[in-house]
Order: sequence, then structure tokens, then C-alpha cells
Amino acid sequence: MRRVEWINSPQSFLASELISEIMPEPPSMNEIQRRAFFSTLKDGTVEIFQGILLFIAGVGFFNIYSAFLGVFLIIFLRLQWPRISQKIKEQYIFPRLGYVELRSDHNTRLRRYHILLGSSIAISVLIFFVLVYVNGWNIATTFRFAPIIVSGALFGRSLYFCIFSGKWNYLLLGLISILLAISFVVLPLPIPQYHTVLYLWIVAVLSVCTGFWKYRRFLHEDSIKEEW
Amino acid sequence: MSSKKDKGNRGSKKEKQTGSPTSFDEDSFGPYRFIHEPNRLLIIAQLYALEQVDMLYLKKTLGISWGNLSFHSTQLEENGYITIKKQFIGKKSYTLLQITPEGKAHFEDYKKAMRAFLA
Repeated sequence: MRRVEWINSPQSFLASELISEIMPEPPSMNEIQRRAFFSTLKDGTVEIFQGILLFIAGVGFFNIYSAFLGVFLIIFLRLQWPRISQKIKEQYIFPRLGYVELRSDHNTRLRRYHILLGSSIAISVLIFFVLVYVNGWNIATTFRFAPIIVSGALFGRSLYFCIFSGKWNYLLLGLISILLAISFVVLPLPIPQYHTVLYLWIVAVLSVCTGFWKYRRFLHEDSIKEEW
Repeated sequence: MSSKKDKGNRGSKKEKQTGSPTSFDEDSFGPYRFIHEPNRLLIIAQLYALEQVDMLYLKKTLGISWGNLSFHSTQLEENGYITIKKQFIGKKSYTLLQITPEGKAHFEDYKKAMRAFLA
């Protein structure tokens, strides 16, 4: 069998040029998995769901009864979310984008998400405690600085989507939530609860609006009629 | 993986092992000619990275026509690289494609051969 040494040979260069011509785009495994993962988030229902949860959380800050109701509703909806999400995917995403099942090593990505989210929340909780300690621990300061913790969680989530999707617009909601949190901490409001409640409701409205905008765009860009 | 076409394309195991990162045997690329076709390569790469994929998803992602997709996926199935099955998800039927263990192993070999070839 004839052997040809390719290193530093003109044939090697020619062959690699030829291969790059034949293969228009070298398939990257991470890129394929990333695209598949983000295709499942294209319809904006996650943002709408997040907005609903934030709105309920805001209602929970009114009094002790609403707090119990809020906690119950949030836990109930969170537990039901996988089932709701599956129904939405079957109804809207799969007929438009097709069905895709990620490999089990996708859990590594989920672990990274939890690490990033956990770190972000930990930093925001630390800032919250420092501010509360400096300003004196009472119910008013707790409500005043509570938006910092929520903004930390939202920023961590946005940062994850930004890093793993490579799209900067995911970071926008996280940055807006941080700016709003700073504004509500500084803003003088007559009732302490207002700092947290108004903050949560404004972020909820922003999140729901983003979700509906994505949903409308998704229906427009990926219509079923066009495909079949 | 046992069809006549396939056997003709691949060559023996001994031949596969002859390729090293510093040298290229002109016959060692022979077994991978079938998989090297751009559309087939793109399909198999998607299936290698993902667990199960629907035809519509592949069409949207790869931007190839229904005819091309159908032809190449049938070719891949006939040669034992992938399996194609119809499955109901919710109330709708989907054509799902999945890579076989043999197809996965062969794709890994192909990647090694390509690295050696372009080194």
C-alpha cells in the first residue's frame, strides 16, 4: 500500500482547501446542541410564565394572607410548568420547528445554569445583607432592598442565556431589572412594601411583554402554512 | 450496517487502523466516502449531537429541500447509519431520525480520519 506524507506538502494544502470547499460549514457539536436547546425557547412562553410568577410574587407582599396564597400559587405553577410547557411545545413549537430531543449529557449545561444562577443570587444576597446592616435592620429596609435579590436572580438567568446562546439581547432584561432595582432602592416611597411590589410588577410586565413579542415574532417567522 | 453497498464502501478494520495523525494513506479515506457527502454529513452530524430529531427540524436547520432530505436520510437508513420511525407526539405524527450505535462509531472514526487528513 502506497503511503503519502502529507505534512508540509503542497498536496496537503490543496486537499485542505478542497475539503473546505466541499464542506461549506464544519459542523460543531456544541453549536448543534446549542441551536437545538434555544429553538425550544423561541416561542417566548418562558418569559410569559416568568412574568406571571413575578406578578404573583408581588401580590404576595401585600399582607400575610396574600403571602400564603402567593407562595402556594408559585409552588403549584412551578410544579405544573413541565406539563404546561410540554403541551405548549406540542401545540406550537413542534409543528413549526420540528421535534428535537437533546442528549442526556445536556444535564452538564443545566448544572452550569444552576452554578451561574446560584452565584448571581449569592452575590445579590450578600449586597442585600450589607445594605440592610448599614441602614439598620427593620421591615422597612428589608422591603426597600429586597429588589436587589430578585434582580440578581434575573440577571443570572439572563447572563446564562446570553453566554450560551451568543445573543446579547438576552442580557437586556437582566440589565433592565438591575437598573430598576437600583432605582427602586433609591426612590423615596411612602409605604415600604411598595419598593418590592412595584418593582416586581414592573419587571413582570416587562417580562410578559417580551414574551408576547417573541411569541408574535415566532408565529410570524415560522408559520405552518409556509412549510406544508 | 451489513448491506452490500456499505461493505464495499468501508473496507476492513485493518485498513482503518493504518491511518496515523502524521501520515495519510490514500486508501484509508475510502470507507468514509459515503458519509463525506455534504448533505449526508450534515444530517449525521445533527443526529450525532442530538438524541432524536424530526425531519422538519432537520429541514429548517440545514436548509435543504424535502427531496434531498428524504433521499439522503433513506440512504443513511439503508446503510445502517440511522433509524427512521413514525411516532405520535401529542396528537400529531412525526418522522423521527436517530443515529445507530454503529453509525455513531463510524462517524467518530470519520472525524479521526478527517483530523489525520487535515493535520
